[in-house]
Amino acid sequence: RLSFQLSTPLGRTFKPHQQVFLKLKHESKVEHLFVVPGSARQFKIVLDFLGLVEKFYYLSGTYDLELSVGDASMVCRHIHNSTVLFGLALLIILCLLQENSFLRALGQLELDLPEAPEKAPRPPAQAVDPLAKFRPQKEIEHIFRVPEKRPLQEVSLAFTGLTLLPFIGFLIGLMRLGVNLKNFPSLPGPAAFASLFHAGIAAVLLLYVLFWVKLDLFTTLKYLSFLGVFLVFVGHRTLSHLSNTTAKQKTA
Amino acid sequence: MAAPRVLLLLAAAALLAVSSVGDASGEGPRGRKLLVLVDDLAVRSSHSAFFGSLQARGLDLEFRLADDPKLSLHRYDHSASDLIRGIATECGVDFDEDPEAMVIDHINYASSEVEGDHTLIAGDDLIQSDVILGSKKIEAPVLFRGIGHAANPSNSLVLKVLSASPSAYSANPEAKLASVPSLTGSAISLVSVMQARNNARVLISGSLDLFSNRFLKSGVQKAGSKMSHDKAGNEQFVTETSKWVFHERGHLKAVNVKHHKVGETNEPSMYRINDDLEYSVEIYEWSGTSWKPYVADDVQIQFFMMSPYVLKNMSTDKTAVYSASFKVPDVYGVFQFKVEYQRLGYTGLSLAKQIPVRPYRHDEYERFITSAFPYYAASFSTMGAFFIFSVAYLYHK
Repeated sequence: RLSFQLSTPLGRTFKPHQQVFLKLKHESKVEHLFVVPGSARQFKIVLDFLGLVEKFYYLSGTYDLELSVGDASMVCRHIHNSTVLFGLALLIILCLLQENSFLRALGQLELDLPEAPEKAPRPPAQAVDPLAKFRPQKEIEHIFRVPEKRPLQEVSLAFTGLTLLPFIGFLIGLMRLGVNLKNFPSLPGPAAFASLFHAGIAAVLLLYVLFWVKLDLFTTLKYLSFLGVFLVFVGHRTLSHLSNTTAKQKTA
Repeated sequence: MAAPRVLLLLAAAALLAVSSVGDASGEGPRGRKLLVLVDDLAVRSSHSAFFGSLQARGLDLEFRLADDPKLSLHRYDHSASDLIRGIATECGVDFDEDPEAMVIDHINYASSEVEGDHTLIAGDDLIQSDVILGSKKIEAPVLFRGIGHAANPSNSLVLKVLSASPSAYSANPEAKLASVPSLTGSAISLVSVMQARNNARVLISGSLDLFSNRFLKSGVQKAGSKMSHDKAGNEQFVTETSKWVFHERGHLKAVNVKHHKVGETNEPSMYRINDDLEYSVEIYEWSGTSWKPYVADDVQIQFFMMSPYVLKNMSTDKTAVYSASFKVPDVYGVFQFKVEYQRLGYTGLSLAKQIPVRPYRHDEYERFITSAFPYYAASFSTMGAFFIFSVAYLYHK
């Protein structure tokens, strides 16, 4: 319960249009304004907070008190100090030499209001700063996906070496076995076909390497078809000659 | 009694009805014809200084009574003030419901020789905007006498150009104050502007006298302050705001959107991820007579697909060309180049240009990968071994 009294001892009566407002402002910017009723010299308002709980939207917390007094007859001259005395529940403001309209902050008030029931009205929405859309937005830089981690080059090269070991082992093994080319046809005809056969196989393998490096499938297949026909012809001659020679050796 | 206090929706609304939009080279965004609707033709002479200045700027004025039967605007059976209240409500501005109410301020009133009732207000709480109020600061307070209005604070289209001070309130000056007034403090706006989303501009003022010859010429001294000004800020205020309302300032246009890969000049129909591209646009501002390059440092470009992936400030070399360059994100899809530019007092720019972004083609990846060398070696060593084996096996004895 809050009681507030305003009196002016200077003898001038308040003319209409006078304004005596008491404003309570909550920290969340919700404001409540009260007109202080009164006669020519005295203004008194009694605020019964328990009764006003619903009007205050059940907002507890700190409220700033502000008093504004204005009158058409108050002409601004000098502004003197006025004393403000605070009682426990009674505020008396003495406007000793005050002749002017004023807007004065009176201090703060802590209100501990009961909890809001289910159907209580909500306080009006405060402005969400509509000027926010007038400011430039924060810059956004796209974060690119980090490529997958790969092993070090040395590791890869080491494993390449390891992969080649079996091949080297094969060559060494062949040497150990004493491989020779004694069975190569000595007659010029079959020798030529044999050479062509192996040259053809080498050409096909070279074609595969070229395909991997830069050719496309169509060109590769074209050349492969030529080589394939050639190889069939040459290979048949060579292999049949070889098998005849071996058969003759076996039977002889 | 309502007539002199009736708000005059200063021809900006009428301008919308009559003007033609011409954006050809050299022609401004709005036509030059202006319709002035008044309740009483005496306004023509009592506000002659203001109308004279408008005509001096090249506007072609035509005066008509509000209930002129020849007007093709809709006629309502209500009075002009109700009509204007309705238009203001559509703009989001609510006037005090009491038609006899005026804004009263016992602290910030303008002192005069006659004992007034503090309804003549010396307002100096002006909006901070060079676009709306001009680059030169208005030193003297602006005289105002009339009705107040308020806008919902969450409405971002309405701006309070001249607000009342915290001690002001709106009530009938003749009658005693019975209940708490609905409009009090800084929430009261004396003059506001609204810029709609289609960039139409409306200025709403609660005081017709603000534009009158008497106020434009008179001096002002705020009660309680020792400083007295020979000329009130009304003339400068009225000239500058009318320039803004008639689109002679703060009207932007954006043309010539261009984008291309860095190093090329043609505009591709599609980008690939991780491409470097450059975007440029030209922005001009209408100066009342011609389109001048607009210079600012906060125009931003967005590369947008459901949300902006890239948002960058654009730089300008003061010749109206704004450009930025960035790397296309490694996400593929259909993106948009978006420029969303809304600033206080300026017309909004909202540009969007769609562009697809494709992923890598199969042959745009890395060709030979070191960590795959073991596999290459395996393959080729097999081929070699096959050849050697075929020779060795056939001819070995």
